[in-house]
Amino acid sequence: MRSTFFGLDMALRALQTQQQAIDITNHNVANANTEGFSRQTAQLGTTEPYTVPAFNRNPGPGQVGTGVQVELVKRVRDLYLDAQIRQEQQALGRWEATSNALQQIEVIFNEPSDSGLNTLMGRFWAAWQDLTSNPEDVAVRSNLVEQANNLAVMLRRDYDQLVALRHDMDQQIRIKAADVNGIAQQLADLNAQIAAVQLTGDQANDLKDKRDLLLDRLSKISKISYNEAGNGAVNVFLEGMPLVEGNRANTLRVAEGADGFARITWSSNGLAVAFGGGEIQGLLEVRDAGIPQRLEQLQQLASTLITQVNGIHRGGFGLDGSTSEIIAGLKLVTAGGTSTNVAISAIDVSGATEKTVYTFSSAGASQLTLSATINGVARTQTVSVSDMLGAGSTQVLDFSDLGVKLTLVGGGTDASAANIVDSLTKPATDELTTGFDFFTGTGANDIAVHPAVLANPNVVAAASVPCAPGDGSNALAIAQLQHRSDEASVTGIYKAMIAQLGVDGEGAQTMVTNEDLLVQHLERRKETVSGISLDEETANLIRYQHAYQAAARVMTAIDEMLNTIINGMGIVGR
Amino acid sequence: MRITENMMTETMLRNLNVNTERLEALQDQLTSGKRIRKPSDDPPAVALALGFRAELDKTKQYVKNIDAASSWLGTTDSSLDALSSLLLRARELAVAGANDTLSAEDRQAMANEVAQLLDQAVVIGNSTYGDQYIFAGQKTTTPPFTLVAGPPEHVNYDGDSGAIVREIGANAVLSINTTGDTVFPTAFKALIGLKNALEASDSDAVDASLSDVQQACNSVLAERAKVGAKVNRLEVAQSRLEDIRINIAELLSKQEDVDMAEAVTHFSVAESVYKAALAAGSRAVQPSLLDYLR
Repeated sequence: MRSTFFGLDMALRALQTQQQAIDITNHNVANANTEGFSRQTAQLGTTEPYTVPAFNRNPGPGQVGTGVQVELVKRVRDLYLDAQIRQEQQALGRWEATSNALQQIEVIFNEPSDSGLNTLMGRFWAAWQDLTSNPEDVAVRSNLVEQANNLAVMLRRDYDQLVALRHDMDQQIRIKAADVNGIAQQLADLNAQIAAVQLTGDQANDLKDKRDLLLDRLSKISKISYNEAGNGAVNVFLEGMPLVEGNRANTLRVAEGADGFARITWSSNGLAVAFGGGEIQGLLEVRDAGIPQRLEQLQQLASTLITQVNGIHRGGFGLDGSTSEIIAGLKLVTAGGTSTNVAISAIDVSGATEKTVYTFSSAGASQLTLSATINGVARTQTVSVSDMLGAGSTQVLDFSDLGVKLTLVGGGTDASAANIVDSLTKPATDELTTGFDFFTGTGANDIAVHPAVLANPNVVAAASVPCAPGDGSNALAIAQLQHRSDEASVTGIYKAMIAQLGVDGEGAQTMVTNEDLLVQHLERRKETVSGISLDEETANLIRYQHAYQAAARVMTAIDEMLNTIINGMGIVGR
Repeated sequence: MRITENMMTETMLRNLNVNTERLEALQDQLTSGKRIRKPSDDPPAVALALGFRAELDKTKQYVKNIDAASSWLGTTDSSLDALSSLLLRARELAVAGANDTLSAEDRQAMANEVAQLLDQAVVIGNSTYGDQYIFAGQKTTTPPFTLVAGPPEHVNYDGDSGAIVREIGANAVLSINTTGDTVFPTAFKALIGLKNALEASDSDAVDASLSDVQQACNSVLAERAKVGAKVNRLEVAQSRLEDIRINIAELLSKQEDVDMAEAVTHFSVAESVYKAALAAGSRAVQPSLLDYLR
């Protein structure tokens, strides 16, 4: 026999169960837009069936059902998809960081445009060509100095911006390392809570959602591997080194390296942290390889420009602005009236880092004195004029301790035409300016137009021989540097550099697009499994509501039946 | 497959994003006229474009150099032309002065004219192009010739024999100047000789200087032929550079510039797709079961 009140209990359990299912639906609807939330379902099951105890069995069928209960509040989630998403997230993060940095480098170089280095170099070479045509024109010389200065400023600016970008990357690395520490600590805390909840046999669904969200975030910053322990805690590793173990987080330490950039080590043992992927790996690669490589190329470009231009410039001769007369090349007239031309050329003036004025003066009738202040050191040397009278006779003025050597060639090319020339009379004292650099500096970080050139454009060595204001052949030799396009030339280096930047940028962008698509696709699949469908929740709501109403109706029916038994029965004959 | 509201919203947003990105890129191309804006847009094309730009700059510079060189040679030619007519006049005077019937006064008058011609010749020798003395070799800032009264009367040359060069193509260098020591010394010598002979009223000497004048005439003509040849070379180089410039500009444009017809077509397609996405999205995300329940 069943108990009289058996049905009442069953209806009550049905009411409670449908109510709980409605609560879960409510929770789902409420969290429809919560990031990281996975839908939960009430897994309903029958309660233990009831076999009526009796000495002799009832003639009716056995095992009466006793109603419904919520067996499990289930979090609907595909853990395999999570693992796949995290694997792709780290690749996406890494390539995004790389691609962003390369895009910024592209902005710095601003090619192809009318204001990039390519254009400025073109103007620089064109200015040398103009100087070839008008070496005696001060306006043309000033224009060259202006163009050269623009080029030098642009090279320094590009270099500085790359260095600034590198520091920017470093700053981001420090922030990401701090993020990793923050997430690791939160994971450890959640692990402790989840283990405590699971211990009692409950499902820590919402806590697990939070933890999964943190793992998703962490996987974008760095490549991670993880496993779930029996107590529900998750252990996280960075390339095999534990970051989170149960309720304990192993922190990263950011220390400043000798070069001023951040070095990330494990606090526990001081070993360098390997990330293996993620944004932080991308940032590290850009900081330690991508940008230094560009800096080096820029350095190589600038140092090639400096070396090649200076190499030719040193061999040439400039104008003297003060008298607008050309200096270098002397006519010696001895007391006896014998005269000779002396050509002066530089063998080696590499030691003269400052503009050097060589002054020649007659010391008596038979002596020629050369005085010069080379890098602040005053020097004098004397040659005998009689030694210079023979054609081709050579005297070397040797200041090799200061890195300067000049040669005087006597009786050189007679500047006068045979039939009509009397004599070319020059003052007894004459000056020669030669042999200094056009650019100072050694690379893109410190390239500048030589202060002497900036101060006086007339010292630009356009001529290859002294005393020739119309000679632009040295300027032409410099202008012709642009025809070289091999990999050791300025043009070649720059072209290769921009082409490589383009290829790298395009490659990174393609990787980002691909990884992004992959992640999106996986996210969609995850959403298919775990996302909230309001239609579905509404339908569930209606289903549970109807079930609730029906259970209430059953209870009413039982109530009526009991009413009949209690109040309507046994009153016969009253 | 379960499709949730969030998926539909996400899908709509993502597709709208893709569409606006494409629209923005095409709009950038259309308004700037450039197909490539940064190296990663098309790395090989950017490398080519950089090369073409540099080549274009060079070509422009060569054309500029050739223009300046042509003007220089033009000035040289007209100066030599003037010198040549001057020498022809001197030859007429020499032929007339050699006539035995002339008196000493007649010859003096002729000598005076030759003196004028000599002054004139020095002025021609000091011809300038802009601020540059064209016959002074590389000493272009000082007048190369000065007449010295003497005795003996002579002309000083303060120039040199250096070449003025112009680059008219990659590594193609042309020397454009005629240095004063090539044709002028003979001319001066002949004129001074003729003048002295006329002043001395020595008809034999006048006759002798006639051949000097003739020789000077010939050397000026020979020099003018050289100048003419250089002008021809410049003209050939210029027309070739013009062809090259057009070719390079075309190649550069092919790499850098937008094919307008293509871009406009793509833009219209992108625009329609964007509009369709907006329309579809607005209808797909709106309704839910709730709209139909009472």
